[in-house]
Amino acid sequence: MSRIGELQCLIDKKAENVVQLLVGKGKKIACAESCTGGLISAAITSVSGSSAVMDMSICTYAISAKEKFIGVPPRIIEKYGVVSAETASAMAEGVRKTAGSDIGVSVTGVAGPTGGTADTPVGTVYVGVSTKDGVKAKLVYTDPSLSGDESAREYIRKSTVLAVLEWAAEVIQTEQ
Amino acid sequence: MGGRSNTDRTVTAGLSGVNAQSGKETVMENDNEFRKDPDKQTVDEILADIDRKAAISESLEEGTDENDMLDKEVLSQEASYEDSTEDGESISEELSGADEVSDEQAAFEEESAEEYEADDENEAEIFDAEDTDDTGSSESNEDKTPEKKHNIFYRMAKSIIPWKGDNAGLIVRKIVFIVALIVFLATAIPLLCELLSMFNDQQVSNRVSQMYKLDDTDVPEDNMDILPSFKKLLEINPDTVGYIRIDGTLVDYPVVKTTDNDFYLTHDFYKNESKSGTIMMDYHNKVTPQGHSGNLILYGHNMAVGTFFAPLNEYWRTMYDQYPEGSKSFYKEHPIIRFDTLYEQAEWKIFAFGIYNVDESRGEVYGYNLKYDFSSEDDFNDFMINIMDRSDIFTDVDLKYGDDILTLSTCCWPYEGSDRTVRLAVFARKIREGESKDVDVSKAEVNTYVRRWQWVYDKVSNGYDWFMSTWDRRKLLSYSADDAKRDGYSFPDKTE
Repeated sequence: MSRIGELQCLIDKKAENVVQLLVGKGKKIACAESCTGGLISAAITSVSGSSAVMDMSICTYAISAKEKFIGVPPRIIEKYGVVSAETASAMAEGVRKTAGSDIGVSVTGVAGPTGGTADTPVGTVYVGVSTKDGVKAKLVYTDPSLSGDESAREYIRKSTVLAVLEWAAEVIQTEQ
Repeated sequence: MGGRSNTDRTVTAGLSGVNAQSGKETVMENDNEFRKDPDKQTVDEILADIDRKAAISESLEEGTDENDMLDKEVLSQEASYEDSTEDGESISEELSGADEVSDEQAAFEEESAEEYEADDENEAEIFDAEDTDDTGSSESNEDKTPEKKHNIFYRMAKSIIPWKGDNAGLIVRKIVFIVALIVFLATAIPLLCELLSMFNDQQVSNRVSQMYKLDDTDVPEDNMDILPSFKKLLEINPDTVGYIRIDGTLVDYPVVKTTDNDFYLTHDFYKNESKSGTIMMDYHNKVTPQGHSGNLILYGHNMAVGTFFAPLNEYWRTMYDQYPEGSKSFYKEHPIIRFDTLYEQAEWKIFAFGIYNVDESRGEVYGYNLKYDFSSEDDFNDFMINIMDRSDIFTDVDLKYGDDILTLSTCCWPYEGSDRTVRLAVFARKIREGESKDVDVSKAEVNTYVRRWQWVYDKVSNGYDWFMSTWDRRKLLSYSADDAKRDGYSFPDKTE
């Protein structure tokens, strides 16, 4: 099986796990995605019964969309840049509040192969998770060279989805 | 003189390991030189003798056995001094090259080299004796110390400057090093001079600051007379119109005003040329016993060493240090400005600060510094709404027509490529009569949809203009419901 295929299997399993956890806790989730372009919501909604836990998913690819639809403060993007922990936090917080969900997750990064900079090379992705207790963000870096002869962009996107689902599962488990 | 010759000799022998051939020749050369120029040698000799005799006489004064021994050694060295001096100079000369050497010269050199070594030993013994003898001559020690220093310079010079005998690679390395050193010095020296000049400017300001008493209680009641605290400043510079201070910062300067806004950009309070300039009031402003302009505008440089209006940048820089809660720390710590005019002591509450474009090719230029007075309530309200739309912060300070406004303006470079196109302005209003000077800084909020200009939108958000006017105009007490209706503005729900 290809590397990306292996990742997809792991994603499917983790998505199922996330949905079960959400159902078990009676919580709802909302997603704001950028470079993953809807892959997180695709993974969650591919699980039967996800309609009970999925409130909303929005793909805010443009900076203006981040500001208009999920209320990411322009001042944050101005100061920290669009690919940053602060922007990921603001996205997670924004989508959670917009959807009225219990958990908001977000992704913003550079999947490549273009768009990388010295500060944010290709593979740099920040993911955010927001709950009523607060918001956190972290860097998930995927080395594009690990994709071998497969598409580095796809590899980075799938790796990111898996990382977000794993982190979401951890947060849901600890959520009261 | 004599001492230096010895030093040269020691270094050369130690460093370059002179071979017998070159050594021979140089000795001869020097020997010839000596004979040609007896006067020079005599002077060296006389001075060296003085040094040594001084050492001997001090040793004799001590009268210890050890010193007796030392005397003998010194005397024995003295006996061979003439030749050793020649050796020292000659070996220095050796560095400039060697020609063919005759047998006679070789023989002479060998003889000299022996004496040379003997001298070294004697000298070493002398040093040892002096080092171990607590009661020994300190002057002798002092005499030797500069010699050591000279050695270091000599060694350094030789290791840096291309020298005859260096191989090609070493010469190239030395040349590269020298070029790099020149480039470094050419850039570092002007920079250092500039920094020193800035510090010097601050020193001048500090001296001036000491002449002004902020806590002066001897204030005339009718505000018609000049405050006594200004008298010394006015004697130095009759352009003085006020004094500004922000507690806990370096902002602590007299303010001047003249007939243009240029002179004090490059002149200090004493009207001497200065890169730091002076804090100056816009020349359009008026300060009279009857009152002053509605918006007093002060300009100051943002100096790299943090002086003059440089601290103002901290207001802007510390916004949003943490997300989601902007730290707003500098504002929280410094929400009040003290600004006295010639006729009045006053404190001012900061209510806004923001950045402004001054280059029309980059987008809108808002004339934050072109409003010197407010002609009407609408004029005041309109200006304040524009300032708040461009302010990075919303504070708890309210405003109303009739308030006196203070604007502090300086340069800033908030973005890569800002060049000299951006200004930072801090706005404050005078504390009203009977009003408390307390400010609830915890109520300060970040203006997340702050108005910028097209160049920033292009840079930050691919051209997307995110601006929304979100300031709560209930803070503008002179803004009525009719004004809101006219502007299509809805006051926020009062229950919020």
